[in-house]
Amino acid sequence: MKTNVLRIHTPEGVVFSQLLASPVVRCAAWLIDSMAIGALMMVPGFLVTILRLVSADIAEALYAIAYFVLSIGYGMGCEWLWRGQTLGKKLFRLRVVDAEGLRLRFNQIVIRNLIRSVDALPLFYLVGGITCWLNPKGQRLGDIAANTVVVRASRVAEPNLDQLLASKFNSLRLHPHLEARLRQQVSPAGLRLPCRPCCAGTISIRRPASNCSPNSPATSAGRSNSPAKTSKVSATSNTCATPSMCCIARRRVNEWQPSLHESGQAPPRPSRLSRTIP
Amino acid sequence: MIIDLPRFVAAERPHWEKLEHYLNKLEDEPNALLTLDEVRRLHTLYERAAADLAKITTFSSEPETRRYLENLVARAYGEIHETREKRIRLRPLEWFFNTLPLTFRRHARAFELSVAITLAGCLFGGFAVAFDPEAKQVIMPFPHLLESPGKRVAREERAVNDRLRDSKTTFSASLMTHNTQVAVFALALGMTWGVGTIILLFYNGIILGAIALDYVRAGQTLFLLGWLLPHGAVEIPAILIAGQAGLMLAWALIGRGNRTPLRARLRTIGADLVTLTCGAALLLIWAGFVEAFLSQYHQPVLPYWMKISLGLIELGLLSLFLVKSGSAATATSARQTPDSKG
Repeated sequence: MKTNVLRIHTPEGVVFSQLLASPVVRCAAWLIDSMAIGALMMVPGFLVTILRLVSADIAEALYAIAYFVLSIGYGMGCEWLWRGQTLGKKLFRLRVVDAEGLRLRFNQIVIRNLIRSVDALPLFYLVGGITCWLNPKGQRLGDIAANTVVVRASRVAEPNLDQLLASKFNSLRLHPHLEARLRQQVSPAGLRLPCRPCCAGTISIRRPASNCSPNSPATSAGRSNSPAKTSKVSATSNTCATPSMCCIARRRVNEWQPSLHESGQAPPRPSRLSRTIP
Repeated sequence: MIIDLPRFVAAERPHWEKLEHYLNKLEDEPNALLTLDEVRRLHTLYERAAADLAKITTFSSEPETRRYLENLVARAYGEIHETREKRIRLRPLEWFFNTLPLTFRRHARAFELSVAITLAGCLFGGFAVAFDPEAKQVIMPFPHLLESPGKRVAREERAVNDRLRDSKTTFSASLMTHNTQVAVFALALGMTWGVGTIILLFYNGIILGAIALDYVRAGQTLFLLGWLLPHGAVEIPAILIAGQAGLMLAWALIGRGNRTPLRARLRTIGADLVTLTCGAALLLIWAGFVEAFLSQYHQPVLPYWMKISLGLIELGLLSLFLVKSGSAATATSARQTPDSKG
């Protein structure tokens, strides 16, 4: 199935994804690269002009070799030096990566650039473009042979903790009566309960947005989820499970979770036994 | 999943930064080697980041942190799960005298197939010219080959002026680049499940067979050998080696009798394809020199026996190099890790 996301499942059970580049953007990057090659050819062109004064034969030969080396070696050199990027790919924030998420090897770079000669057939990368369009991962023939994909290399910076969640929409604010009721149930000290990993990994509230009602999820959870009855509560956040609510729910859970441990039962597992809170 | 996100990020951030530091170090210095402690630390940090990503994945309100973690885990995953040997240093001599001939021998069957296809083309071309003289007009790629061999030999041997004067280097460069393009094309056409490579090799064989038969029938065998052997002794094997690479690629694509996935098959032969193609390109550079500076000069400028001897010596040395070069110890290690060459 055609998709625009490359998902890689690690042996650790973690899935990470990378956005695949579309053929149109790749084509635009290729146009930039073609122009870059043309611009780079001005350097040997200038040298050849000088060398022509000495020997026109050698000058012409050097120009032919320079053009050949640049046209074949440009992609290889840039992608190797800039870890999967050429000038065009840098501009459009694309990157060549290994299709299995492994380190990009020089061999792979060479192969995908050598097989470009077939991708470019018969004109303007028609074969490569059609293959790219049809391939589920947007690979041209060179990418298939080299086991690479071109992804969108978005600028990833470390998240700014100071601004984290500051500008985020809090759906709870849409329900002031619910908010007020929750505030009645929880003390300010309770809201500052630590986020314990064992709790965080196992407990949550599942609650469809349409079910938002004055029946507070926190109070419902507190009312009906006795430790004996529901030792497993699945964890899913949704539009209504705002951080405030989560903290409330966690507090509720924390209140009865120690008793589970004390009674010798295993801590609750992340599970499918989810309880939908009305 | 319930997470106090600001607290979570604040607690984990130092570990992410440490992991990023290690990754930057590895990426900036590809030849750098980590100590055992550093490797353990890197692995621990990777697992921690992976666990953090798993925790945060369902937390849809903070995609920025998730993207950052995905990027971090992706980079670390590539470093940690890469099992192929990391090439420390480029050793061109070792590559040329060991890796190239060993790779060639490891895939000798593909080379034999390449030779067989070219020979079949030679036979076809020879028969075509022998039984249909008009076929020559269709087959011969260059105009000077269309004229009678006898006339051409007489003209070339009578030549007083050097027709390549002041253009030998340019001619040599054009031969090198053109032949290398053909070699690359022979490899790349392997992606057509080998059909393109087979057609290319067969067509080359047709031309060769047609020219050979044409000159032999005209009684110009000595001229033919003196003209073709000096550069052909290297050029033709180079194209055959490129064809060998193309056929290997095709075989990996088809995967007949091989249950490993396509990606694994292609990954296994990747380094070998590059080695063979680069080897073919090197040979073609030499062939380009010889063709421009030597092959185009005939008796009385250069005696035929000298040219033929040079061609035979080249052929002998090349055969010896491909068949004998490379130590047995390296051969064993190379066979054990066919995908490990960088």
